Amino acid sequence: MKLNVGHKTKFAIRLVFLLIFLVWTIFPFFWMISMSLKEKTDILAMPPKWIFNPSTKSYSEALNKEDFVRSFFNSTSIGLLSTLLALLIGIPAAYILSRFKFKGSSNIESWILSTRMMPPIVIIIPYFLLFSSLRMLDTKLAVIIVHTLSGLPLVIWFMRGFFVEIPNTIEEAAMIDGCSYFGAFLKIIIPLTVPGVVSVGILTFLFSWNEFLMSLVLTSSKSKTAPVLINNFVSFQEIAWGPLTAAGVLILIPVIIFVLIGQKGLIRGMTFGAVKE
Amino acid sequence: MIKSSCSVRISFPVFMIFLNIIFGGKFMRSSNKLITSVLIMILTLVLISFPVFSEEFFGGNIDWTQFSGQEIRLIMCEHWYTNGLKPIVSEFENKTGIKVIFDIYPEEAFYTKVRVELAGAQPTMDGFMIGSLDMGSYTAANWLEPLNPFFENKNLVDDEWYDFQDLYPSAIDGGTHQGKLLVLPVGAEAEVMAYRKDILEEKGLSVPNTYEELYDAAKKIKTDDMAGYVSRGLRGLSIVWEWSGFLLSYGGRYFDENGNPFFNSPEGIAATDIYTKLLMETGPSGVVNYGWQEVIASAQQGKAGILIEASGALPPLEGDESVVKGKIGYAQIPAGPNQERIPNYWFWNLAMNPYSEKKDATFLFLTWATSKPVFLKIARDSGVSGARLSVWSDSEFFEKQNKEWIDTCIESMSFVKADLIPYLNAKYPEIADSISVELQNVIIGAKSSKEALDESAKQVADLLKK
Repeated sequence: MKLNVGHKTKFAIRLVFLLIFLVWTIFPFFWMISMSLKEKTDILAMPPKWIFNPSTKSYSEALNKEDFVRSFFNSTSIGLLSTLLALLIGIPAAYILSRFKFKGSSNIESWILSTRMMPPIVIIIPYFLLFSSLRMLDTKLAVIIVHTLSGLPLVIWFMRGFFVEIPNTIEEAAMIDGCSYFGAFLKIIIPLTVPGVVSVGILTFLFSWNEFLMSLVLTSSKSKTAPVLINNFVSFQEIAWGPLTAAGVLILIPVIIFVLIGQKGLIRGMTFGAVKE
Repeated sequence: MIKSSCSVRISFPVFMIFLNIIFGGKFMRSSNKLITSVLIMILTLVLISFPVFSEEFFGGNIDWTQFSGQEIRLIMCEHWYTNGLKPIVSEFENKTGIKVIFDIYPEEAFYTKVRVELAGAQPTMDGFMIGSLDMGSYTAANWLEPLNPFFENKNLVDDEWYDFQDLYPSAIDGGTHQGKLLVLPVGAEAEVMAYRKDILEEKGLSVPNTYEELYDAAKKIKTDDMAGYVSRGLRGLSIVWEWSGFLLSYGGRYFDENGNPFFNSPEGIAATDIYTKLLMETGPSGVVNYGWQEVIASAQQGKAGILIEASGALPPLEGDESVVKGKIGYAQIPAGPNQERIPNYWFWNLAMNPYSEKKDATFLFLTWATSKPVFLKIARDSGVSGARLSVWSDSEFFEKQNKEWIDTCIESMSFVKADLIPYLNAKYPEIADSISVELQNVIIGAKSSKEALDESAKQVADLLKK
């Protein structure tokens, strides 16, 4: 009986903390969505209007804002392609770094990490000059390259951790059964680390999706990304809260879809469970 | 596009008449059709008698089409001038055949974008907007192409049409360095006081004429719902811009004759005391986060009794978004102890990238964008005057505006003493930042005005030595 009460209080405390955390995280989203559905006059009303007639005016305004749709697709293609590239290059690199010891291999690891230590503002002018002389300013490819480069250290370090945890014996077993080294990597190791690939993929995508400074400097009219464009809702006359929040909600959608798809991979990977020692 | 639709409009009735002549009227089954086609014909003639572009924006004895086919790119800041110019840029494109790409960003992003592109020394863009704050540092970095040689080329500008003398003389002075004209002004703003006529009347107050009166009035207006006095408290130039008007009006100066920091003089301390006291005791809560946008937004929502802001920022108070539309009075900033009023000022200008490869076409655009007809159009639409004297005497602009507002603006510009604000000092952005941090320290109660200004003067002296 006593134990039961203890359990219940523990449960209640947990519940309270979870609720607080939930409100803490959900409320800004709730507020953004409710703002995006309000009429102009209600948005900044004090005390806030909790009950109102939802209107989609802000959404049509946001969608009609010049270039919003284009910037949205720019962001999507830049995010997906840079994530894909970072994974394609980063995963094999991480695997080699975790399996082979060669001259300077540990140095390489810290050098790779060091590129993340630099604040982006330091390398922004060199990047600008580089892409300017390559005549690649205001192209999606330029942003994709930069986002891939910033995503790589993350992918390599993250995946290296996963590969280190998998014992060599698994590849050895595969090779005894006639698999090549590369085949073992592709057919055995990668499926074992799907949760890692998925989570680092999500992180890389989110980074690219939210990145502002590089996209601002490297793009102009044609390949503006959504975070740069959304900034333009802050105009001289007013901050257009309605369309701004509506655009915010709209650019959340691909992220949510991407994470939901990724989540399946996360769960599948977790239940795979081949590694036992 | 427009031309082709015109030809369609012409060809249809002409075709009908042609058929009529050939078939001797048999083609028409009824006289109604004839009348219709004649009407269409007349209508078409009326329509095509208007030119594709309106000639009002062009004039002078130059060949506007000489750079046809070129493409120029300008980085612009979100601003009433940009908003006003954007819709008529197509007129320029149609007339000259130059394609203009407008890259527009809000302030913070704008500064980053322009600085990086200029630091890159690339021909990626041709022209850009530049505010007073950056004049010194951009000049020192040679980021502004001198415009005098272009003005001497009579193929590029017709002096009589452009009327250079009509541009604000103070703005031209501010944009000239060692005899070289570096920018063309587009907007000229000075500090102006705005107050709620209804609230002042309700409380039986008169319009404050001195800083003590301003403080008393603000104290009486202050309630839980309404701030007595609202102004900027934000770090950086924001707070320092407003504070400078107080400093100068109190008789304080940034530097003494030898160029040493002098703003911590007794006058400077008195000005800082009143500036911070107003915000601390009668201002809104969280005033250290208030830039001009927040100041204007709070006034628009009816939460400010009196405010001092840049004249160019004030027109939204009379906009449809504003609950205080029509209730605002305008006046000069209060006078200091010596009856002096020296408002701070701000010029927005257009400049040319020295690395541009299409300088002549860019110059053509810059002069067009600062010409009389363009400024008149923008002023009539936006309610704010560009940096030309003649705009103020335009009857159409005058009719739409509140007379008190116009008079206040003209007068406040005449009070400006441009050389007292060290915009042309390349280190001014850092100087302003240092002062702003210490001013915030006073507002949050961490330091007295004297301590804060002494500390800042020391930092500024070090900065200047570097």
